Amino acid sequence: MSAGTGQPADLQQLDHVWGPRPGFVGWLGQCNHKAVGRRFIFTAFAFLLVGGAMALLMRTQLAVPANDVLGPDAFNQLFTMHGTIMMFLFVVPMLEGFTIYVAPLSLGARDMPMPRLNALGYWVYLLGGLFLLSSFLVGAVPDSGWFAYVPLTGPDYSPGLNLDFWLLGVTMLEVAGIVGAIEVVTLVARFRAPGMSIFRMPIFVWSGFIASVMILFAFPPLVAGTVLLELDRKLGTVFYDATAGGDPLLWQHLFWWFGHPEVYIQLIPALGMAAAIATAAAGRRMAGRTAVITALVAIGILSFGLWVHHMYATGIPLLATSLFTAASFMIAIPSGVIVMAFIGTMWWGRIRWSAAMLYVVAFVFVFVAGGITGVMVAMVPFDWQAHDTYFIVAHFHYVLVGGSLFPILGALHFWMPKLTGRMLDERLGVVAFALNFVGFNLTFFPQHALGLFGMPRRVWTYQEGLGWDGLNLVSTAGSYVMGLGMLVFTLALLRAHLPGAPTAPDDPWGADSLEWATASPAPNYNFRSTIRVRSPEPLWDRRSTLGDRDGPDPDPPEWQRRIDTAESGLRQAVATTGLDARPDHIVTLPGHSLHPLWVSLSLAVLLVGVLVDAGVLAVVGLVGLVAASAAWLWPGVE
Amino acid sequence: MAVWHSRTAHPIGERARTAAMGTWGLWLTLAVLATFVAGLAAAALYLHTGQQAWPPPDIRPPSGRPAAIALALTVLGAAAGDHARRVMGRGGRRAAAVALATATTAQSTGFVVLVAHLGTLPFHWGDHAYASVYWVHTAFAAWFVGVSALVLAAVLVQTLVGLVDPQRHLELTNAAIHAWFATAAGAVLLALVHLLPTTGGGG
Repeated sequence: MSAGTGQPADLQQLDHVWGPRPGFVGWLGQCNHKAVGRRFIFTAFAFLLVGGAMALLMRTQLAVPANDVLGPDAFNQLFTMHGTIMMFLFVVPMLEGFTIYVAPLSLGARDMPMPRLNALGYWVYLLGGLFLLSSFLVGAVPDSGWFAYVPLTGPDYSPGLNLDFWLLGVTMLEVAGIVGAIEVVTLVARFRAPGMSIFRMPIFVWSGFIASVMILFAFPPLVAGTVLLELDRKLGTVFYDATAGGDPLLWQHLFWWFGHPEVYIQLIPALGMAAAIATAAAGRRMAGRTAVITALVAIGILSFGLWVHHMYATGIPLLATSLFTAASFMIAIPSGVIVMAFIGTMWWGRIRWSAAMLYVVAFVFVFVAGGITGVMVAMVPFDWQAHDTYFIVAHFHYVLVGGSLFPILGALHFWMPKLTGRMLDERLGVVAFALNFVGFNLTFFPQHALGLFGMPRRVWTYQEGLGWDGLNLVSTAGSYVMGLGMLVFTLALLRAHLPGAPTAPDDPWGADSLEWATASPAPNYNFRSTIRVRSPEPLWDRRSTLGDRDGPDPDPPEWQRRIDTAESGLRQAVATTGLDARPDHIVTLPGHSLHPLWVSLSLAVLLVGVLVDAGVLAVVGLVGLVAASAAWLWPGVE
Repeated sequence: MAVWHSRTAHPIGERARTAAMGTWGLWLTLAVLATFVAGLAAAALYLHTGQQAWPPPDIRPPSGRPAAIALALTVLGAAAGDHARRVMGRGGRRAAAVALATATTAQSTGFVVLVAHLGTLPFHWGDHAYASVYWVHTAFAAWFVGVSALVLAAVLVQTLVGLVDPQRHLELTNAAIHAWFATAAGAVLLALVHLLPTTGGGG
């Protein structure tokens, strides 16, 4: 024991080595996965509230015919920024944040394999988000929809800075997403606890891994597309100008090559979250566990063959539309397998109900509804009728709210003990759930009918007597109910952090995966000693050796003793082989770095220079970027 | 020391059986960049498909000689970088430095040739989609080669100050791999500029 701390000396050493440096600079330079993951999660939640407030403003405008709460310009700006925030600033970063925080713990690792890259992802994300939102301050808010179709977004029809904010900001956010994905893929490939073979990985980690691989191949073409569009706007190239040999449809192809997998990049990790919650609540292995993992992989692959189903109304040849219709139908098969697995897990398990589990049930219900309308719009004749109507708005909100938001809210309940050491209030959680579920369905179910009655999407107002009045009023009322639900959820979140709020036990749910084998919140070093895994549910079997629960290994090999005692004063972790997770080599990780922040700031300066046509500023940013990158990559850690 | 000569990783057994983190990071980054190049390539091919003539009758295609020279220099640079990696592995630090200097010079010259070629083009990038593709794809080819030259130069400096040596030279290995990638990316982009049929898919 060490005097004064009540901790054994090796634990104190571990805590010291893996802990952050003191002070504000220490806080800025934190690279540890828990710090970065928490930052992602809470920043993304703040953006969710901003995007949700925009949705309420839009619904207020549409509550009654000929309303004038918002003008057409403000409405255009709000629906553009609402979609952009939800897609780029909320869902993907939130899911990446959970993966960054939870996955290393679930794998029995001490950190991510490239912690500085981790921090870079966060800073670029934060600055990209602030860059986008700063468009409000200068009165040049993007206003052409979250998909920025040309020619509307070309230099002729959007001459201001509005779309430049969007293109440059989204490029930053894409870079942040790619950086995080590289990190997660390497984590899964190398940082699994000894014995955790690839098929023993938790489903949530599988889902984060699949989504990350998808990001690597989905995001870069959009970066290419946005670069070409920005060149059209800033320099006068004509990639998208039909009058000079360009083609506006090129943008749609590049955008939807990203955009359709993006839907599944948002869905797949959320499915993994729901699986983790359902498994713990049911107290049994996920039904058809291997089939679920196979289905997730299948969805990930198939999602790259569907992008044209967003373009049926653009004059695509009939043969192509037929092929993409077939591909769109095919994705219903793995989706159905997953839904049946959830039903089976609940059916055969003994459910311990919680707010988190309620969100999982809501996810299954809402996602199935969204999937059914998805099959409808995959049919070309129906799509031609429903295209650009409120039916589509209803469809994708059922998919994205059901498939992403509800699992995320459930995951916040489920993993909050591990994130912060506090439990969210269950009563407030259930109230928030009820309001969110009822409010969501009140808001979006009537929009199916509105679409079938011919109401186009993105209209800022409508005339009386078209048959849309009552349904719009119901939809707006529903949005207020859901807004109230989010308010209650936020209150529960804040309440949990008040002084004196009850602290969480290590494993409040009796769950199966390794993050629950350590303290709540997870300590700086994650686990007291190296874990050895012998099943997919290491906390439920009696054969796995767990760090905190079992105490230090009495007779560890030399390399393990070195890691478990941190005697070298370095952050060392064990890297394992790809499939069977045998210990392979010891890696020394960096613990504190401001380089990611400097790189991110330089990138932001560069893009601001491009935005305002300030060549000197852009050059300063570029030089800073090269210098900061060189300093980062200079050999340092031994 | 493991076969990959990392300064931050130490094998548990006789030798490591898996790649170092730096190698993983490099290959995943190259996968991302390759997908980016594929996006640019798809754009060029798509625009070509929609045209009757490529380039249009009022634009004379420039000579492909500068691109060929730049590509040859880039290949030479990548080969020299690879040679540097091999001789460093055999303990020849000085010979590796010479090879790295050759690689840096060759790829920098390739970059300069491409940029200089852009300065002599008889058309503006806004004249036609062909002109846009010519300018932007050549510029991106130059960018890939230029970044590779910068990376090789940084490793050269690290070698000269003794940070990269026969025991620890993962940086050099990665720079050499990256140089080959830049060569391949440049070759693909320049091929799209110079080798597409003059009759477009819309012809």
